[in-house]
Amino acid sequence: MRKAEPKNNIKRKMPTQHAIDRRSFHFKALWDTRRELIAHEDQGKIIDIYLLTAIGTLGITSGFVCWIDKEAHNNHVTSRGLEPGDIKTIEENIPKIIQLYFPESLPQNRPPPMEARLMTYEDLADPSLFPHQTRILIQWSINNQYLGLTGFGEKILAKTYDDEDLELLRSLTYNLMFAMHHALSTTIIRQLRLNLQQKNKDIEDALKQTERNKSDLDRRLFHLKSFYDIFHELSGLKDTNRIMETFLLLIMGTFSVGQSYIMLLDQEEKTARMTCRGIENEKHGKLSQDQIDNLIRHCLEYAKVNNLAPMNARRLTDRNFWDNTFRPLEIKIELLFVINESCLGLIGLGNKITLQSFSEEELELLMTLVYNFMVFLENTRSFETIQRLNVDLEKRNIELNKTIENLTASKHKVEVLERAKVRVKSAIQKEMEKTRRMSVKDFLLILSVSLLLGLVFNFSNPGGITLIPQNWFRKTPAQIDVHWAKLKHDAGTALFVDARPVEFFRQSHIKGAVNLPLALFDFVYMMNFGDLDTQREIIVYGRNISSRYDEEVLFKLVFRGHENVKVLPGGLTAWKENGYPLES
Amino acid sequence: MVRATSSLFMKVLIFSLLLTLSCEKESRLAGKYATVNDMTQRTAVVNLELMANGQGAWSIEEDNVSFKWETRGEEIWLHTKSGGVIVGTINGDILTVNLPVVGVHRFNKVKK
Amino acid sequence: MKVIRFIIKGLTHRYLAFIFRLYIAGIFIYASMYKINYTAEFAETIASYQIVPYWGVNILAVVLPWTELICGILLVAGIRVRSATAILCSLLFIFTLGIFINLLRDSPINCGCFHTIGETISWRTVVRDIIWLIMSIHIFFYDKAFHLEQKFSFTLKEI
Repeated sequence: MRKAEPKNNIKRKMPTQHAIDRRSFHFKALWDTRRELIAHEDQGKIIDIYLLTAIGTLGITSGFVCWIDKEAHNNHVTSRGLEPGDIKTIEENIPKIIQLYFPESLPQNRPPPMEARLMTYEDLADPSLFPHQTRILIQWSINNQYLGLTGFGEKILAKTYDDEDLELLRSLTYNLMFAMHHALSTTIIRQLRLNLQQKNKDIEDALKQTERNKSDLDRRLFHLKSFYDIFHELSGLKDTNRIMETFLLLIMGTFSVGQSYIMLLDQEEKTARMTCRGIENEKHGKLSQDQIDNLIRHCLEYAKVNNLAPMNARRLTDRNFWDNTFRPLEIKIELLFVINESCLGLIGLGNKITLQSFSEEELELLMTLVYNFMVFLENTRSFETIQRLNVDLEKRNIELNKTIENLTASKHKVEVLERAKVRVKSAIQKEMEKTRRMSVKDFLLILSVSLLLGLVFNFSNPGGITLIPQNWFRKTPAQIDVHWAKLKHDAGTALFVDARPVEFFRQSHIKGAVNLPLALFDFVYMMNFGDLDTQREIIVYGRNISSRYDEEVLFKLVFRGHENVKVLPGGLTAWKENGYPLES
Repeated sequence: MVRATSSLFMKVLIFSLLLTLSCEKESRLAGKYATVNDMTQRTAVVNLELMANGQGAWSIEEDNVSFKWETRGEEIWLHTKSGGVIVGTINGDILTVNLPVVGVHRFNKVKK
Repeated sequence: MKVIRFIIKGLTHRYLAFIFRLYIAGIFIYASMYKINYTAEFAETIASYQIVPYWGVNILAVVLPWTELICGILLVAGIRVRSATAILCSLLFIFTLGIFINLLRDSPINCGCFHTIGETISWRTVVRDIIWLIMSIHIFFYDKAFHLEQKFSFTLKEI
């Protein structure tokens, strides 16, 4: 198409050599221009080349191109050989130019896309809009958006433009349009490519972000897991030391730290419990009491100054913190945590194994973990306190139980004693009543004791007496009737012996009888009857309800060898009753 | 009560005192005696032996009777085994014993 | 009236009873001594009263002095005073009765109250025994003072 146009021109104007040279020159210029234009994409450059080519080829004194971007309202003017005032005039008149030459209301006034309309100065509707030297005006448009107006001044050599010049200008303008179109397209494509690249980049960025998010998520998961682990591990523990150790191991694992310690300071007990890993024990093992007190005081002051409420923790970033105080360990990160007014602690973490520094998130996690740790520690301390109290309580309970047992035993004892007392009392009362009463039991007791003592004494006493009457075991002695005895008495053949005690004999006895009282038998017999004939008849009398004197005496006489001894059973009573002689 | 016990105590005391006194007298009285006069029809001499342990023997020739004896004040009581009592009076070394039925016997101390 | 009441009060006073108690106790203890020592003689004495059947004389002679002794001691100590007094009362009554009967019989016997010999029974003896009997009865009714048993019980009460 573009080639066809110049060919047509050539066919039409072929006659002279000069014309041919000129035409070839034109063609050459066109060719060069075209080559050059194609190579450029910059619109300003393209316009420049176009202007220069046109001016140079045709020998034109001045020219301008007014480039209008209707939609972007980006209009600019490129000119050659014009005064700055002229350029300014054009720039100022662009809206008018647009209104006049590219009106929206009258499409026929506008050149169709990719068409160029040449106008001479004389044809112009309002020549004042342009510089006065303007001779040729070319109206062109690429599409509805991009419009252009090219103006050329007078030729140097000739007064007017001939057809060939116009043809060249038209061709040039076509070329310009193509080039511009091309440039625009290229720009669009480039823009598109750029957009595409941007999009790609965006996608890559998004991917990277996703990647980052994922790792972040992983980390968070890891943190959560460590958090869970800590919760899980610590929740089962009821011992402060175990909790401290477990927590230490967990944070060391969580943050991959090689060295760490936890120190729990108790103001009330004035103690410092310390747990550490990866640190030489000798360094901190023996803290003196002064050092502990100092440390506790210092930490408490710090907490007070910094308004560190109970169950709070803070990272010690103040470089002056340890200035005047013994520092247990030199370590990278240190936290002060306060459990209550009297109990606080320090946590120290050394460098990571990977030698990376701690990120904000990790520090945050550390703080969260420390808060949890504090909660557990507090709980455990409470638990320990409760346990201690429980132990105390149990001890007291045991003591109380013992006391109660003792009391019960004592009570039992007292009860038994009381019962015994009552029993004894009642027994005594009974006895007392008995004392006031006389009882058959007492009689029997007294009599039986008397009997017993009497018998024992009698049997053991050489002067004891026989309890059973001896005559029960003897033959009944020979007896003599009272009358027969009277006869003997009268005859004086028999000796009458009175066996009764001497008082009775003295009172009254058979006449002529001799007294031989049983009680004094041996004496009286020895004294008075010693030489008595054993053959002599003896009649013994004297008996009463209480004593058989006669039989006893008879027995003694028989024992002494007397053979003719008889008893007068009736005794003195029978004698008296018969009125036989008595004497006193 | 106190008075009662003390009274009993006093009685026991006095009794034992008497006992010891009489014992003293008895030990002084102990010895062999024999009749000196002839108030009875018999000519035989009656021997009386008072032993310090309270036993005694009354004997004529081979015949003899044992008894227990004790002093009561100025009297000496001879307790026979069969339940009789013979009372005598003490006058220095002379004992005047009244044996019922038989009569009074005067004993002189023969030897200690 | 006042005088009579005073006299009655004085006569029934427990200290009077206490004095009687000691007196009677002393008499019986003293009496029992000889009887325990010379049982045979006491048996003779019992026999001479002609009240107890011959088979019971000896056993009575063995037991009776000990009864007297035990009752006397109980009286002194203030233990079972009433029972002891009752026994002594009955003994005294029997003795008095025996003497009384023998006085009626005109028996020429010794009292045998303390010793085998020395005291022939007489109305004086009867009166004496009756006085003793009254004393014993007084003890039976009015004696309250210085009882060993009460002493013990009082101490226990105090405890």
